This record gives sequence, structure tokens and C-alpha cells, in this order.
Amino acid sequence: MFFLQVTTNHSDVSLVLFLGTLGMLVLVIGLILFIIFHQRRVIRYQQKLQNLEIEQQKMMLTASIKLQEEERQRLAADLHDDAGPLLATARLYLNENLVNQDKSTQLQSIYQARQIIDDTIQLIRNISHSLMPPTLKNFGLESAVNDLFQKISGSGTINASSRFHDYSDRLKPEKELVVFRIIQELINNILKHSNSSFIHLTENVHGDKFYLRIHHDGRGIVQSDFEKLTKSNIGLGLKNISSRMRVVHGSINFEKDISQTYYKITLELPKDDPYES
Amino acid sequence: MKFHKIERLFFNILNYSFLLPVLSFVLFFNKLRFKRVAIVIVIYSVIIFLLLFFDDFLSDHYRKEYSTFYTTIEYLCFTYIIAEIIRDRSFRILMLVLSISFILFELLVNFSLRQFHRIDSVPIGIETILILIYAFFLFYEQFKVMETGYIYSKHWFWFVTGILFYLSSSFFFNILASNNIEIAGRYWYLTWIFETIKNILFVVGIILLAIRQVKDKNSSSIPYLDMV
Repeated sequence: MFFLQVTTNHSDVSLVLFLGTLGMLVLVIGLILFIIFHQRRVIRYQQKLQNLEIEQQKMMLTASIKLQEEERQRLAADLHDDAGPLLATARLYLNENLVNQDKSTQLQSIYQARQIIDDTIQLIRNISHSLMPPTLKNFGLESAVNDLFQKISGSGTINASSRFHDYSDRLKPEKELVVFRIIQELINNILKHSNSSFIHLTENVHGDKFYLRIHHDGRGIVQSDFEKLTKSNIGLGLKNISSRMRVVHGSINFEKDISQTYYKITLELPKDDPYES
Repeated sequence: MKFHKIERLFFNILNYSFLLPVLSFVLFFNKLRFKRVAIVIVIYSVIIFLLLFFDDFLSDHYRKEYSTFYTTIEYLCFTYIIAEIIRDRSFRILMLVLSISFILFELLVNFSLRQFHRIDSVPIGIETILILIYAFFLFYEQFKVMETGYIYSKHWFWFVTGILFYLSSSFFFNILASNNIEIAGRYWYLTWIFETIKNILFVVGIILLAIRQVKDKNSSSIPYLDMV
């Protein structure tokens, strides 16, 4: 206001009027355009992120379906190649001519058939156990993991050990199964690819979080490799781990120890609410 | 007021452009009858239309009351449009406090002045600054939220853009008017152009508001059809 009051020259006043108005309009138009373009950029970025997320979900789903199909094929192969011939052999021993044969031959045939049927029962039990480990179902994650590690260690090729520090509050059975499958997949990868001499698993809880860490001294991967592999067309097992972690709202981290000697894989997931039904 | 023909034309266009928001409201009456922001714009448009329509017949004796009433109505309408969108409760309370203070200040300034120069420059200047602050805060708030959907698909964006155009273009004219009416008056018609643009943008906003009502109605009438 002041500078307008002291201005006496008409052309100066006109100039102030036009420049002032022009400046205000430029300011307003600039602001509005900035908001529009910034918002467009943000929305485009969000859409890009969404598309990536969808793409990754698709890949996870494909991996999951593929894994399920592979599991079915393995089951079909086990039943067809192992259980089928065993039962057919047992049937041969128990054919119609059995009644016409002498007693010792009859007894021998029945004994053989019983042996084969026992083998078949064992085979079906093994298949069933591979689908749902009975230790996990009956005694929980701690026992199932310890059992798994004892079996691996018992083979004599690798030293495997596990320790649960605080597992007084068990996870929900469905969560335990997911965690167990993840551990199985990780152990399977370590056995297949790492060429390590030991595997060690530790469990603990902190606050409302449940932690599991696997150490091994072989060849391993770090988080960036994991993320790259889950986004690529290979790494079916890792994709499966990633999708399972999402199911339990957890996170997984692959890293190398500070000493650069060991690889560490850390699982972090929320503990179950004790009041939740 | 003596007008040149072209200026008279601009004035008439401006005056009758205030009927556009009213007409668009009437056109979408069924969808907008309960929308307070649309009703406020209609009331504002009708009042300003009448004020401008009878401007020529107004005695200079009542110019002070006329200007005060005009500025107050304009300020209240613009503030309401912005306040309806702002979510921050404390800022809304601040707006209320500032609005009461502004109206008291305006009455004090306009009615305590011995000599009144055709237009109340100081209150209009403050009105403009206040509305600009409210509008900037609204954009800042929306900037933080960044909901999905483009900002120009929202009705309030057009209302606020119209207000900003009008106020920013007329700011210097208004503050200059009481000091140098001769020069300000020479180019005054330019503010009418921007005010006309503001009314057109208000119409765009009203139409968008009506369209949104139709969309909301349609989406709520579809039953839940998913199997699971």
C-alpha cells in the first residue's frame, strides 16, 4: 500500500497495476499447474508400484500352483511306481492257484504277501508324513524342527542342530505349518546348494515378535539376491517362501555374518494374540 | 457510472454470468438440493447478481453499506467453500476466529472512515490475503493426503481455482482503487473478465458435483454380487 501511496506518476501506477496483477496470476496459475502435474506424477508412480505388486503376486501365485502340481506329480509317481507294483506283487502271491498248492507253499506265499503289504503300509505312511508331519501336528513346531534336524544330523553328512529359547506360547497350528514349510524349504536349499558343514537354528521371542534364525557356513545368498531371484523366472522355492511369509505377515532377511564366515537367514513374524480366537 | 460500450458489455456479461451457477443448480436440482456448498454458491450468485443489477441505481450515499455488504457476502461464501473441504479441525477453528475478526475489522474500518472512496480497499485486500492463505492451506492439505483420482475431477478444485483467479487478478485493482480511482477505473473491466471466468468455473464445479452424486447413487444401488 505504501509504495502505491507515494507513487504519483500515472504510468508508474499503471505499470505496478499490470505487473502486480500479472505476478499474482502467474503465481496462482503456477501453483495450480504445479499441483496438477505433481499429483499426476504421484498417481502414475503409485500405478506403477501397483502394477509391480500385481506382477509379483502373479508370479507368486504361478510359483505356488507350480509347486502344488509338482507335489501332486511326486505323490502320483510314489503311488504309481512304488505302491502300485507292491500291491500287484502281493496280489500275485495271493492268486487263485494258492488254494491248490501245498501248505508250506501257501504259508510262504501268505508270508511274502504280508511282507509286501507291510512295506506298502510303510510307504503310504511315509507319503502321508511328508504331506503333514505327525510330530508337528501332535507336538508342535519345536519338536518337529528338532526331529527334522536330528534326522539330517543322523545322516552323518552334515552337522545340524536347533535350539528353541522361548517357545512356551505356541504359534497357531496353521502358522506353525507355514513356518515349518519355510524351514524345510530353506534347509532343502542349504543341503542342495550351499555345501556347508553345519546348519544351526535358533528361536527366540522379543516383544510381540517371534524370531527364527538359521546359520550355515556354506555358499549362500544375501537379501538383494533373494529379491532378485523372487522377481525373476527362476527361484520357485524362494518365491514360495516369500508368499508363505506374506501369509503369516512376516519378513525374511538373508545376510552374511559380520565375520563373513556364516550366512544368516532371519525370519520375523508377529506372535499370535493370546486373546484372539 | 459512465461506461464505454465495450465496458458496459463486459459488465453486463459479468452481471448475467452470476445466473449461470443458479441455472446449473436448477438443472441438477434433484441431485444438488441437499448439497450445502451448491446452495451457498446459489445464494451468493443471486445476491451479487442483484447487487450488480441495481448498482447503477444506487445512490453514492449508500456506497459504504453496499461495499461492506458485497465484501462480506463474498468473503463468507469463499470461506465456506474452502472450509467445507479442509479437514484440519484446528485450522477450521482458526478460520472461524479470523472470519469474525475480519468482519468486525471491516465494519470498524468502513464505518469509522469519514471519507469513503467508492470501494473498501483495505478490507478487500485483507479478504484476498485471508482467502489466499485458506486456499494455499487447502492445497497443502490435499498435497499431503494425495487421494487416488485426479485433483481436477473434484468439484472443489474448480471452485477454489475460480476464487483464486478472481481474487489474484483483482487484488491490485482493489487496493489501488481508493488511492487512484482514475487509473484503476480505466482498466477495471479486466477484473470483470476474471470474475466471469470464476462464475464459469463455479458452473464446472457444480456440474462435477452433480455428476458425482449420480455416480454415488449408481454405485450404492448395485447389490453385492460376489459368490464369496
